[in-house]
Amino acid sequence: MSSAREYQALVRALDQLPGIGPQAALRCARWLLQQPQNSLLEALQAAQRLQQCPRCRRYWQPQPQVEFCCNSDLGHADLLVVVYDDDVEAYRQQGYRGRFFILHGLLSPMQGIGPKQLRLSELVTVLQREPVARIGLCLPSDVEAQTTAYYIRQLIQRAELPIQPDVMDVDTTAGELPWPI
Amino acid sequence: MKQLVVLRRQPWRENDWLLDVFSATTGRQSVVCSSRLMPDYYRLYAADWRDEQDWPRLTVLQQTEHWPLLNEHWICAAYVNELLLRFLPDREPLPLLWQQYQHTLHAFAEQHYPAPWLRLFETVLLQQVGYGISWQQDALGLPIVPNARYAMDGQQGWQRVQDQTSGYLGEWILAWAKGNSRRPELWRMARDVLRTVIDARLDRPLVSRDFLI
Repeated sequence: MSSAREYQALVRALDQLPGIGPQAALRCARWLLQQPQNSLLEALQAAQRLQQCPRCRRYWQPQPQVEFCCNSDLGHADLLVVVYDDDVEAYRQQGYRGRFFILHGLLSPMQGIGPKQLRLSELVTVLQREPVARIGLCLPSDVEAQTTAYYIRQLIQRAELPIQPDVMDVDTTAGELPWPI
Repeated sequence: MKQLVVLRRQPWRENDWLLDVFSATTGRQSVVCSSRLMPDYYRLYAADWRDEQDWPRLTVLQQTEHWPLLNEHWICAAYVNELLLRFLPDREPLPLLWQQYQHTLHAFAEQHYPAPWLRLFETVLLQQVGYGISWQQDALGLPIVPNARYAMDGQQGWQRVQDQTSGYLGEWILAWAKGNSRRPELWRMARDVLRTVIDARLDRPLVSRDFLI
């Protein structure tokens, strides 16, 4: 008799996680199903409540009458493009108070991540709606990051936006800001 | 020591990565490496590995060549790597393709115009994995006729068509077969035909195609 359809769906879903293969997905499914139901439910509900802010794409829990998580940054002349949500706090701690745009990953066709998956056209939309004076791309030095930086530069150029990003290699600058505050 | 390049890196355990590598002697295969050794893309390495329970583990890794890339050559190299990932069978040495990969990356690093290198790489790849295109015969094995028109069926090959507005003139196909590279329309035909055959053999579209703005 084959496994329940739901059980197979759980294993398949876990198999999609980075670094998890079919065997590890099976082990994770067994482990998960032995955990108290409440803790699993809480984790899933928390994930469901979180959305990406339509302007900066930080994870946040939308509130009535509040359009963006980053309303206080409105009108700021600088925009930092960072890879992950966690990067935002690091730059805030350095005193940066401008706007952010979070990529949520880097272009990597080898891993099936292209411009559509990262929704990179949203960056152009944000820049057209609320222009900035300076853009800093704060990316690591690896191949995926350099490909992403090249693509973003092309995207901005093709959209005829009157600005070119300053690219910062966060590996060599240890996450320093691209401009003096 | 084996020669290899990295096609894909994925985090695996806390301090390990799972790599898809393309090697001169073993073709494509998966190996595990620690974060400490972590190879980068578009570099040639001499490496060794030992068998372990799940995948072989890299024990030695020395960079022997680096193909530094700029601008559109990033995108072209990503396309080439994605093609290898999607087409290569496991553990089947393909020496001609291995050589062509190195020539292609070398040309990209030298900032040569990429289109001819891409067409050549696509052609060698398809030949090596058993999907090669005949530019002299149609799907029925009949010779291409210069004044007839043909459309490429990605699975079957050239199909003769009656519609004088669709497909390609037989004369173009034969000119390409003879290596005529001076006519821009032949390059456009080759690009579209190779793309048709590649797409027909894949279960989902290539992500790197989306990089072409």
